Amino acid sequence: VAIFFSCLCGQQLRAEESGAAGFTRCLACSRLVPIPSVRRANEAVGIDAAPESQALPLPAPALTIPPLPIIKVQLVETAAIPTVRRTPRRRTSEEDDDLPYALFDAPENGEAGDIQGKVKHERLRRILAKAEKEETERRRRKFDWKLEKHWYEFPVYPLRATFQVMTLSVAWATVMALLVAFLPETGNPGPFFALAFIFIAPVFLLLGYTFGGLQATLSAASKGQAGYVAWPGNDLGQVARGAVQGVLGFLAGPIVPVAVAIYFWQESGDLEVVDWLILLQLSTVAAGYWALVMLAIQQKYAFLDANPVAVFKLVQRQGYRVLLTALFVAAAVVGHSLLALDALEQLHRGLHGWVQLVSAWIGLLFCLILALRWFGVSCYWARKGRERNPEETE
Amino acid sequence: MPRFCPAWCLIGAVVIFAPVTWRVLSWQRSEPPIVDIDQAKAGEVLFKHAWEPNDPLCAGGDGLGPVFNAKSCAACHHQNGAGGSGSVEHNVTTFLVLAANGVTPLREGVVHGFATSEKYRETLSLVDPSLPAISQPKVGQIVATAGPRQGGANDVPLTIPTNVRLSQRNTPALFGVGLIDSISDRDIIANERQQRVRHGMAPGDGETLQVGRALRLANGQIGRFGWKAHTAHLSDFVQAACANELGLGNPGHDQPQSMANALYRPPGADLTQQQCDQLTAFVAALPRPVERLPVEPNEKANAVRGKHLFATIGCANCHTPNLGGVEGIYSDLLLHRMGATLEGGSSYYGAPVPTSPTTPTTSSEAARALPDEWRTPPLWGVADSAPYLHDGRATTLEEAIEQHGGQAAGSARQFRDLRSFEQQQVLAFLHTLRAP
Repeated sequence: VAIFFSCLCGQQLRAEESGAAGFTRCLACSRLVPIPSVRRANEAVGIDAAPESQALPLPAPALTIPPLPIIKVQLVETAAIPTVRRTPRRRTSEEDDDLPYALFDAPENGEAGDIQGKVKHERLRRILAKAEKEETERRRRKFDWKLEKHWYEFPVYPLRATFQVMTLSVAWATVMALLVAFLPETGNPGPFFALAFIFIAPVFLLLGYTFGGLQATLSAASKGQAGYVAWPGNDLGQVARGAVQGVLGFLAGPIVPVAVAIYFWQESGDLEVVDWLILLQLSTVAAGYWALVMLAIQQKYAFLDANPVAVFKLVQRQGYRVLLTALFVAAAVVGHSLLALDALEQLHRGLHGWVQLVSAWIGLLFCLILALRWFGVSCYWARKGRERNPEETE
Repeated sequence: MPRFCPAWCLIGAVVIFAPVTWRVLSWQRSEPPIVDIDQAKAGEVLFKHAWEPNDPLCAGGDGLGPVFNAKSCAACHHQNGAGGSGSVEHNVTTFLVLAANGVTPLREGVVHGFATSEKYRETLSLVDPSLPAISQPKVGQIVATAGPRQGGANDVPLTIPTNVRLSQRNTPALFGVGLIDSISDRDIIANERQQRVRHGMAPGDGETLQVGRALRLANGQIGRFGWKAHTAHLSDFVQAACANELGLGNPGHDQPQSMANALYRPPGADLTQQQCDQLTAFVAALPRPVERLPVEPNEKANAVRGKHLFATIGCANCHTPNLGGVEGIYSDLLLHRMGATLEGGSSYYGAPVPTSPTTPTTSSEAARALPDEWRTPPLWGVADSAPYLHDGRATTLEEAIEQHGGQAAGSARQFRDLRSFEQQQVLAFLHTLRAP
């Protein structure tokens, strides 16, 4: 059995019985329109009993039905009237009772304005607004990403950030390739400083977007936000802050083991296993501590937190979680730095070096985003857990 | 407060500090050479001794030969005293025969200039039948030289088959080689890394960037002696020279077999280990060259300014003033590609000498220098060591700079771009680098 009804705009519509008591979109004006329930449709044509197919007894019609409706539901098949599908939202019987049926009235003279004028009922507007909101929410959630709960869900977030990761990787690799290509042949310091001056702006911008993006990732994750990839976008303030934070974090400690590692690497001759171990230790300490400093700054967005005391407190507060993150970040940085060093050498031989460089950056950014997302979300769940069971925490 | 297990703490401390401790204890340092004066004096006698076949100083061998390039060390190393460089007359001719593909080496070695008997005499025709039966071609017959031909009408360029590479080696000065021997491998590699970093981790075998590479020999050591950096230590270099240039077999190197008569076998080694040590001690004791600034103020100022320009135009990137604690060496001891015009075979010291003109032999060395790769020659004493370049084709320093190609082309171009008086200032600086 089909149910015929009209939209406010005058468009006549038809819905299958299965769609009764739901909502649909008008094919003409896209307005949300309530489909009459079977009960109301039957009432309109003078049938009191529910159809056989309806197993459950319908609630009795409420007495508070507004005396507005001018119901003209036609039970005639009309080929010209389009069939609509209902949305997943179905009205409750209470809502159905509250619904004034003026809406189902076909326009007498084809002028929507007249009908719209008739439908001023507050409850109707409320119900429609609620339905509209739910419908919007439902559509959003159709593409929505739930907050990660299990470890295997975490790699999905960096995958969703593929565009950002790819863009940054290509940009970094290109800047590095250009820098290498324009390095002066004879090592004369004059052109080198000119080169540094030219490249300082793009490098600063890239630093800002990289660290800003990582900050945004951590910030969104620690707030339990899902559904979008956190990214500085046009917020140049965040970009600048990210760059400053990254540089400051590096100068606040990691620069020492990095300098020692570079000196050792350069002066230690052909590397033996023991030399590799020392370099691994130094670079792990540098990258890991860098990550900790960045996390310490991120907590209160205070640059003054780039000090060992704040880092120590952070470790005390977050425990294994922050150490695990730092270790993972360090491993990622060290591993991908080795790849990048090899890529730089390949860069002198051909374009495949650039591709390798891009790959190294993609891998590194993927790992960093993964680590920060995991850290942030796990902090969020831990906080939620503490809020639910405050005694356990104590 | 968490409790820590002492055993785990100990293990952790060992894991963290063991590598550093190990490296601190085994850190390779450049040690100044210690020379036994008596050994050096005995070595000087051997260095200047004119060897003969069945020489009485050769207890167990056949003495000089059967093939050789000179009768004594001092015959070639004679400019500015014993241990100095040699003129082009004492050049050594090397050859490399390639397979039909033009890449795979079939045979390589030295065409010795002299033989104790005619039946042992080596000639270019033994390398390839189309070459003339001469033993000592002039350098101008092999490569185009910048100056006038030295041999007059007889100095006609040879028609060399496409699969044969002929090259010559000029006698280098030995002053200060004891100090070079004391430079650690670590310092040479450090310089190599520095050059790579400066050019964005460029590989050492590139053709344009000034990035050298240390020659890692099959035994893991870093080569630093010879035009191709094919020898790691002075003792080995001295022994190889005795064997290859004088035909004096020794515990370190057998004397070469003649291409003309490969069946000859010497009765034993010509030199004992003690004699080799004495020679090494003498060579190590040779004084280092000096940097002697002119007394006249204007000339001195020019030389000082020239030294600055020398660094500015990039010469000092490869001719590094100081290396491993040795000041004023003006070399990084690394191999650099010098361009097609300076191609010249491969190393011959240490490579197996071919047994027959037709028997292919391949080098057992894992590492080989490319034909256009040359170790940066130390510039100390350069003012007194003409002629220049590996085969002495350049008679002046200007010619030598002009012929720098490959990785050094940029610096040579910058030298050309200097104003005339600036070029003279650079040359004035180079002329302060004197033999002792």
